[in-house]
Amino acid sequence: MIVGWICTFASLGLSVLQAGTEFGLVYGLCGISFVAIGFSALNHQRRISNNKAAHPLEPVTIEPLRAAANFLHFIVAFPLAGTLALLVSLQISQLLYWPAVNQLALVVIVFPSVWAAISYLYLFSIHRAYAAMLITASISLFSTTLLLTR
Amino acid sequence: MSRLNQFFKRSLSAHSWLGLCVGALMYLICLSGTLAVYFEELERWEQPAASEYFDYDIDIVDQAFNDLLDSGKTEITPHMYVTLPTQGNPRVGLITEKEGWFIDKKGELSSPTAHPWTDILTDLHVTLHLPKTLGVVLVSILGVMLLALVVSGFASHRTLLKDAFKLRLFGNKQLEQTDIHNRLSVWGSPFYVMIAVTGAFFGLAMIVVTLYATLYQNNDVQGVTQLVFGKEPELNQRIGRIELAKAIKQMPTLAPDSTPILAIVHDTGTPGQFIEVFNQYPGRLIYSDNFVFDANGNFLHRKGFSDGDAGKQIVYSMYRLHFGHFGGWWTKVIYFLLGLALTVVSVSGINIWLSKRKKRDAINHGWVGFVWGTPIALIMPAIARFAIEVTHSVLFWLCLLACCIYSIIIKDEVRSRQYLLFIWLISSAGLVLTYFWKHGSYSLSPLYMSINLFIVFMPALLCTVYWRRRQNISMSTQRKRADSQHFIDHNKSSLVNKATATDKPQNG
Repeated sequence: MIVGWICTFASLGLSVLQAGTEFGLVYGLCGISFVAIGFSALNHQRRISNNKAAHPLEPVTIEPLRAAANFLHFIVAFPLAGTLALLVSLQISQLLYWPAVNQLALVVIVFPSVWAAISYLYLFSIHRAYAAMLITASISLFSTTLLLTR
Repeated sequence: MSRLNQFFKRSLSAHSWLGLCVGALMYLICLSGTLAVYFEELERWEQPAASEYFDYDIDIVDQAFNDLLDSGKTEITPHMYVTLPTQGNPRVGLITEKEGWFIDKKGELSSPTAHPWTDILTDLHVTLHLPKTLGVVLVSILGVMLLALVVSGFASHRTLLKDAFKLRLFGNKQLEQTDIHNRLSVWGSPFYVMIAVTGAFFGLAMIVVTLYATLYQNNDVQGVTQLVFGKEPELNQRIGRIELAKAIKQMPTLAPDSTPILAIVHDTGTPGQFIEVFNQYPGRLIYSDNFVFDANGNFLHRKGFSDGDAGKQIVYSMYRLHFGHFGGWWTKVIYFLLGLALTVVSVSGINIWLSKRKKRDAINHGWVGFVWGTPIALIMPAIARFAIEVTHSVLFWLCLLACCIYSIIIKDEVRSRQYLLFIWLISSAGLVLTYFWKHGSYSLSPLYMSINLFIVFMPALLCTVYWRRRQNISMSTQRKRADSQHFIDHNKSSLVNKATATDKPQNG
């Protein structure tokens, strides 16, 4: 396994050497995906079909309360997570004392990733109402900090 | 249940929830994005009659541009564009904010720059055919969701290392779909993260800029935008001829290794009008570095995207990084294949959920109609475009709706998939025939021929694979039946033998 990882990183390094830092990194990362998917395809196992008989057809069952709860998750929690992510990213950028344009670039790159991470943690939690409250409290905390330190 | 198992289970639940919320839209965005990698080639395919050349004479282009401004043939808009030949699109175009024309080598206006079908495809990817701002923001949020799906997908993968190269096909359907989903998603994840981050940038950057301006720049949004894209010059000149040629002729001195790809005349027809020339650099991901000239072609300043602050360079690299428009034709091939992999991941994710449900309802059928109906829905507007010269995104949605309804009415996933594949093949052949009928000899050029072949090849390939697979399944079912029959016969005969053997002594 160690040899495999060494080869992987070596190929990334070689592609950077060959095509320059910018193109080489992209080619290297895509190359790793290609080689690995290629290996998986070569390693495929053909199995005998054992598809069971299809389940009987049923009418679509809609649970209104569950659907409403899911909709609420989407419409409330996801924007809340986005707001918190934006504030966190801005706070991180302010701690670095970079030129404004670099701070902006950092925020636009970090913000979606932080948003994704917070959304995942929210969905991961068992007590989602508490999680939503925690996010709201964090938003207040971060916005106050940002306003006081600007 | 151990803590670790609980962690995997809850992560999987989060992953499924997110996937179900966005699966269908993600499929549309991924499929259209995969095809949109080749949007330049598709635009050319839509208008094969336009002249293509690399060796343009800038004086002729300059004359054609100024003639167009003076002719009154078109409304002069604040931004006027002159597109110059590139590897992806070797044509010279004069474009306003409302219409445009290609010009031939002699500077004569030829066909208008209209590619409505490619616009339907790219708009589907960029805005899902919604109003522009809303659509771009929604699609960018889907980019964030893709990131969340990557994170939750990794967190829910219990056997990530053990199954890293396993691909068990044709057996249990759920296992097959899970293996396809997991292998393509795990190994393609660096690409998917890159696409998600760059995709999220397009819609969310404005929100970031607004908040940043509110907090740190006294609500001066324009000032913050200028931090990245530079200031526009404040000029007060006599309104006269636009000296485009003079400006572009200075480029070899100003930026020796670069190639001009585009020129924009800003504030056209006003005393403040100025020229901005976009120059592309070899080996760089930045879209271009931009050189600003006054209307008389005097150099004013450079925007500094090629050697300015790192942040500036990163932001200006997002476009090419997202669409794969760098490094030559094989970068596009890589992007196309990995985009296709992401499309398969979106579909297989929903397939896994459907097969885990242990029940079957209209959602199963509707999903088949949606997945296999999308290519048909993309082809129909193209047929309309070539047959009657009119097309609209509504046609796409109507076709997609019809495919879903058809599939729900038939109530048989296997049959509806079969029929939709067949309709896809027939409509593809119809599109290619319409194209031949419309464009005659132009269709024989290598690029357009390859596109036409690809249009028919994809459904033909899938039909063949599907047909062979159905044959394998029916053969294995027959074999199973024969085996079980043989087993029953064998048991019967051994039972009879036993019975006769036990009967004999009694009889005896």
